[in-house]
Amino acid sequence: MEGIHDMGGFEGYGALDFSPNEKPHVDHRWQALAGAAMFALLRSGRTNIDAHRHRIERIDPTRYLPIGYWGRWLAAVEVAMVDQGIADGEEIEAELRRQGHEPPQSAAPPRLHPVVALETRDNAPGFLRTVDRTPRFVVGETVTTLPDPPHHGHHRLPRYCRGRQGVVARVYPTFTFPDAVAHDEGERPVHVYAVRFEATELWGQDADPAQHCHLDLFEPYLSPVPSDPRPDNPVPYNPVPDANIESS
Amino acid sequence: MSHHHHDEPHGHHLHGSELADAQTIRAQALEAVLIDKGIMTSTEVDNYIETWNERIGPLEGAKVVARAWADADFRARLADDATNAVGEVGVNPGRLEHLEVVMNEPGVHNVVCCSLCSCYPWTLLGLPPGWYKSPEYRSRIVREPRAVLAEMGLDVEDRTTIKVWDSSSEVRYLVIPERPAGTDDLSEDELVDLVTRDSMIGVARITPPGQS
Repeated sequence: MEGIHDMGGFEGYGALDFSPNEKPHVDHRWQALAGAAMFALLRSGRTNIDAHRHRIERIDPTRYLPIGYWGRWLAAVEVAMVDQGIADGEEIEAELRRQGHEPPQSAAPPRLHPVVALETRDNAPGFLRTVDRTPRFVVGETVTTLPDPPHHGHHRLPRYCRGRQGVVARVYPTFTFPDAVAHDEGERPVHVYAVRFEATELWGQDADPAQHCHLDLFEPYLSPVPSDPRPDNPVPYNPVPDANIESS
Repeated sequence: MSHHHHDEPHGHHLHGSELADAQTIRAQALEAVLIDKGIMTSTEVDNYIETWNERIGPLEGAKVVARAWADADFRARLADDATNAVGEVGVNPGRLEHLEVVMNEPGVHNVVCCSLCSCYPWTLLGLPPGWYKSPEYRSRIVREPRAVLAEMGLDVEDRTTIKVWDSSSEVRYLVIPERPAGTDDLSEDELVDLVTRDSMIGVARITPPGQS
């Protein structure tokens, strides 16, 4: 979708607030809760990371920035709980009323936690798939990206590289296709490529000639060059039907 | 050291503390429901806080970099298949879906970002720093990396090519910075101590020993 999340190249955000080797720190318990709850949902098989990202993309853009990174996770957790039938909105509201500011007490038994949080990933199905298919493109080949967003759902084709020509720099294995997985449309694994774009191709002739940007692009986003992807030679791409996006 | 999260609100709709209070209340309700449904346990959040704040960090990545400097054969294996090669320095590759390294060298500087969300090699570097997740970095680094890096204190001369790697899939990137001069006599463990987190994202060089 064309959302505020697709930030690459947007102007006006200003200077970075940077201090060298700043140690990242979770400052508030609710931030860790947002992360812990999402990893618990992933581990339970109730959702997947692509759907999680799409829930974040769907946050009202006027709230996306003010609530910050963990605020977006927390919002996505709540939406996932409702989406996946874990609790309806009324149940959550009732809990809010019941609880006030008191932290919840639980009789659930304590559980040993893995040393590294991301071990949750070990229990999830992951993204790599073995598919007996030859990559459509080879290193060094010039490709062009879809000129428009592939569809209105979740995808990983940033606005700033659309309709641009680049060169395949690396060919990666087959990964589950986020456009399908986020919408419960199966895995449809496809090859991923690191595609190198000259800054002048992305940002115009005045751009830095000694600057490249590589993006990891899924095969359906790419077509060979020279070709005009529209209208006589349509890109062989089967977008996710809108009806399914609306219900996700 | 700053504990401020730079991607956190600057008071657009609510003052920071009001927003934090609202998030706390919301989060507590969600946690109670998730515990009630058997999806989470009551100790899980505190364990994450301890893990994220105390246990994970950039040491794993630094071990990869130091070995790449010390061992040309390892460096070649890393370039060929980083996901499996990192196992040689004790990193559990099972937690990495697919890792790629990008090597800095004279005339080439690499820098990593994620413009669409904030994808980051947590397994190797720990939690992402606030600025990495900020709209400022996500929007600007792909467009004007040389200016952004200069703001961050890293001057990359005009004739050095800057390669930005925007992590738009599940592939994760680790920058192998250039080995600083004057480190020929250092052991691999001593080299590990030189490697900084920022240099492995590509927003800093490594200071030679004895300089600051």
